[in-house]
Amino acid sequence: MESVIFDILSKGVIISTNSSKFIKESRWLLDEDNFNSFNFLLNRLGFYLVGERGYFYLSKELKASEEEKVLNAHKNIILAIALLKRVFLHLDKGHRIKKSDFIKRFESKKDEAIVKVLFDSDDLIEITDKLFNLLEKNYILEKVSKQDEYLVLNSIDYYLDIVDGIGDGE
Amino acid sequence: MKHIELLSLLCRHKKFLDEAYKQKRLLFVPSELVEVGLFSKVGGYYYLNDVYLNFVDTLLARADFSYVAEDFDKELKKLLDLKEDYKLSKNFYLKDAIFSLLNRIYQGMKNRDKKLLSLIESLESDDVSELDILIKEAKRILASIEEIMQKNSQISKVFEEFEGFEEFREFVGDGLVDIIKLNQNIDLYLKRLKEFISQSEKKRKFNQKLNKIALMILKEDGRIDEFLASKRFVYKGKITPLVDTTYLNYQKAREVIGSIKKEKNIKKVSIKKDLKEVIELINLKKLLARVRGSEDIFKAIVEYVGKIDRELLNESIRIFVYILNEYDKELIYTDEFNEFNVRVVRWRV
Repeated sequence: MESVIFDILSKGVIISTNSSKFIKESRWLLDEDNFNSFNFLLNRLGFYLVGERGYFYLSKELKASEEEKVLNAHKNIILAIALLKRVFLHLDKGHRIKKSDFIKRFESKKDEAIVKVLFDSDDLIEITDKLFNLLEKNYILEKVSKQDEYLVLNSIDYYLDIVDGIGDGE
Repeated sequence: MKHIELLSLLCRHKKFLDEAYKQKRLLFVPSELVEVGLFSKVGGYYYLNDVYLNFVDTLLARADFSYVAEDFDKELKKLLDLKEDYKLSKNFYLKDAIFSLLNRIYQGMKNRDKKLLSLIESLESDDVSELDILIKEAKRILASIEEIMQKNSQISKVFEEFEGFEEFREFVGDGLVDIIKLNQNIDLYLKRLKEFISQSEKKRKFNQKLNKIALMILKEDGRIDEFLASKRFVYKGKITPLVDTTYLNYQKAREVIGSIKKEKNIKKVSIKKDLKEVIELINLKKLLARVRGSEDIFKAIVEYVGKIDRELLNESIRIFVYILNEYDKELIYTDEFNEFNVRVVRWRV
């Protein structure tokens, strides 16, 4: 199981315990003994296994050359979540949201500047598809039905905690 | 019109009534429903009588934000007046009026309880309305509940006063048991609303902050990078030292291994053999002889394995991890990383 999980985590995946794709892996990681021994092993490889509120990820000290890329990826995801939360004000982990609801409500809520930076498009359908794809690709949303319903994974808290931690000058 | 005739009329037009209840207003309704007073026409539309709406909402335990919780103040005053009159003259009409008022207050309190609960539940499950509106509404309900709590103790006292009359004792006694329970419910609703307001305010504050941080990102505010750089990250880049070929840097591996005499096509698929099988294939004894004393064990493994079979390169990390596990105490873990992005581990001299 270690090598399977290492394969997953090292691709930058955040394993959420409410994801239907990683049920076995989450169950294995939730076992304290497994977590500790795996973390011990990873530490020797120079990684940190981080288990927070309902999600797990792999972390390492960043080299200067990697920093810009990683920081930008994080910033883009925070912008995407901000855009999603403008439409779904109550959005939280475990919620189910629909693309069609986003499309219905987006016009009155949209943030032109974020849309321009992230998607550079005026097409509502294209913006919606790109936004949901970005968040799905980063394991924050998971499609739960053949229609357009998505589950908000626990990993959203990883990014929301970052936002919470940043001082905004107040 | 008799009650039974009214019921027949309602049944005959149940589809209209259902439509009007859902839509709030209709452009057309049968004239007999207007004549009986169930609908009134205002501004070109027909609206259901509020009495009917109130009746249905109460039975279905529904309430919208327009609901104003009753305090039964007028009923209570009238009841006290009637009590004084009744003391002087115990006539049938006064007794009947007192029963009616006692029952109206008691039933009214039960209905109010249902509606308040429904209102709080709809607030809690509302995931569409603006947080400002929800907080304002919750605060309004909270204020009215606080008033209700004061009034309720007054109602209990008045009911207790009627226990002194033989003819009201049983009714009032039964009612009081329920009223105590309803008062406890009000107390719980108060706590639930306070919690809802506090959570919604937190949510609103957080959303405001998220928008502010998004703006800072857009304005390329240095504080964002500063904070992000200080946090440990989910590693989003490709990591070289993996079992999977997707992540093995073949170019680097080639440089390390050097030219290979026998050309082989490198299959970019993971072999994923059993660790035991891999160890047999690579001849662990020979490998150990080669890597002992090495300045960089992983690099030495890649060199060795690559020369045996390049397809086995994928397994280098597993062999590396195996060696770390087996020979932990004989190794030195440095803070450096090699070109494979793998920690440099040396054999202790």
